[in-house]
Amino acid sequence: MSEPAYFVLAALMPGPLHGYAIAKEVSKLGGGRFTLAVGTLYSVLDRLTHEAYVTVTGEEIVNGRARRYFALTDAGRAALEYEAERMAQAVRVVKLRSTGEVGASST
Amino acid sequence: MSAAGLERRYRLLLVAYPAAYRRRHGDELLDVLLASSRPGTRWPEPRQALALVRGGLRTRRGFTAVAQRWWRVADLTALALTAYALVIVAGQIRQSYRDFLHGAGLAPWFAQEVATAGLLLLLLSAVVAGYRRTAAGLGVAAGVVPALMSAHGLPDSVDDSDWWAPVIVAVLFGTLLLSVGRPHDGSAGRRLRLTLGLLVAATAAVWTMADPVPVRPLYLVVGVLCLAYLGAVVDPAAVVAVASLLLPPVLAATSHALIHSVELERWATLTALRLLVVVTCVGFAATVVRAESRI
Repeated sequence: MSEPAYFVLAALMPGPLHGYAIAKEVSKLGGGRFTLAVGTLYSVLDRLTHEAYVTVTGEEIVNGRARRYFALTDAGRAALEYEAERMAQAVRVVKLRSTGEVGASST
Repeated sequence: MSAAGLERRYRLLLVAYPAAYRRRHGDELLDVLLASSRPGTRWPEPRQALALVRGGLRTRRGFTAVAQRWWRVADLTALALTAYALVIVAGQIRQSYRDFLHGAGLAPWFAQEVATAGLLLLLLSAVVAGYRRTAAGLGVAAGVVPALMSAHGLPDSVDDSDWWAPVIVAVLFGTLLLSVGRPHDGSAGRRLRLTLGLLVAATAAVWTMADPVPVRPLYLVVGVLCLAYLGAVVDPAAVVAVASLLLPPVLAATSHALIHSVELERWATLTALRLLVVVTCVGFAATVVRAESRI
C-alpha cells in the first residue's frame, strides 16, 4: 500500500468525506509533513475505488458543480488495519533491538 | 480576474486527462485546486501542475497496464526492434530507388530488401492482431529469407554494419516465443497505438544516429530525459523497449570498427551510449521511486 493511499484510507475512517476535506484531513494526520497534490489525491481515490477499498456514497451539487463523497468499505478498513498491524510489528522489531542493545552495553 | 486566470490555467492542465474523465470530474478537481491555492495567486503551483500531468497520464493508462510483468517488457522490446528493422530496411529501399532514378540500374539486392520489408510489415501486423506464434515464424523468416535469396548465404546488401540484423531476429524470436500463451496487452487498438509510437521512436533513433546529427547532443539528452520521464509515468515497460532501440547502433558501430580495424566512430557511439544510460537510469528511478513510496 502506498503512503498516500494509507493516509487517504485513514482520513476516511470516521466517515465519508469529499475530495477537499480528504486533502485537509490527510495533511492534518501527517502533521503537516506532507500535503497531497490534487492530481495525486484523485489518482489515489480512483485507484482505491477501483480496488473497492473506497466507494462513492453520493454526490452533492455545490455552485452548480458536482462533488463526490467517498467512504471506506469493509475491505478498505480491513486492508488499512492489516497494514497498520504490519507496520506496528516492524516498529516492535526495532524497539526491542534498541532496548536490548542498551541493556547489553550497560552490563 | 486573477482567479479567472488561475482557473483557466488549471483547466489547460486538466487536458492531460481523458476527455470523458474531464467532462465527468473536471469541475470537481478544479474546485479542489482553487480551494487549495492561496488567494491572489495567478499561476498554478509547480507541484500541483506536475501532479495533474502525472495524474492525467496515469488515468489515460488505466488500471489494467499497471502490472509490470516481464513478458510485457519482452513483448514491447520485440515490437520496438521490429520497428527499428523496418525503418532501416525502408531506408535501404529508398537508397536503392534513388540510385535507380539516377540511372544506376536496379540493384541486385532490391528484391531482398522488398521481401524483408514485406515480412517485417506482416510481422508487425501479426503482433498487433495478437497472433504471437505467427509473429515468431515471420520473425525467423525475416532473418532467413534475405539470406536464402542471395547467392552466397549472406544478404548481398548486408554491409558489415548490418550483421546485427540476425541478432535482432534472435532476440525477437526469443521474446515472441516466451510470450506465447501469455495474456494480451489490452485491446488491438491499444497495441496499434503502441506500435505506431514505437515506429516513431525507431525513426527518431535512426535519425539521431545519422551522420551528421542535426541536433546538439545536449538538447537531445534533455529531450530524451523528459520523454523518458513521461514515458515512465505512463508505462515503464515501454521505456525499456525504447531504450533497446539504442543497442543496434552501438553494436553496428562496434562491429564496423572491429571488421575494418578503424577507430570506433566515437561520436555516434558515445551519444547512443549516453542516451542508453540516461533512459535506463530514468526507467530504474521511476521504478525505485514507486517502490519507495510504499510503506
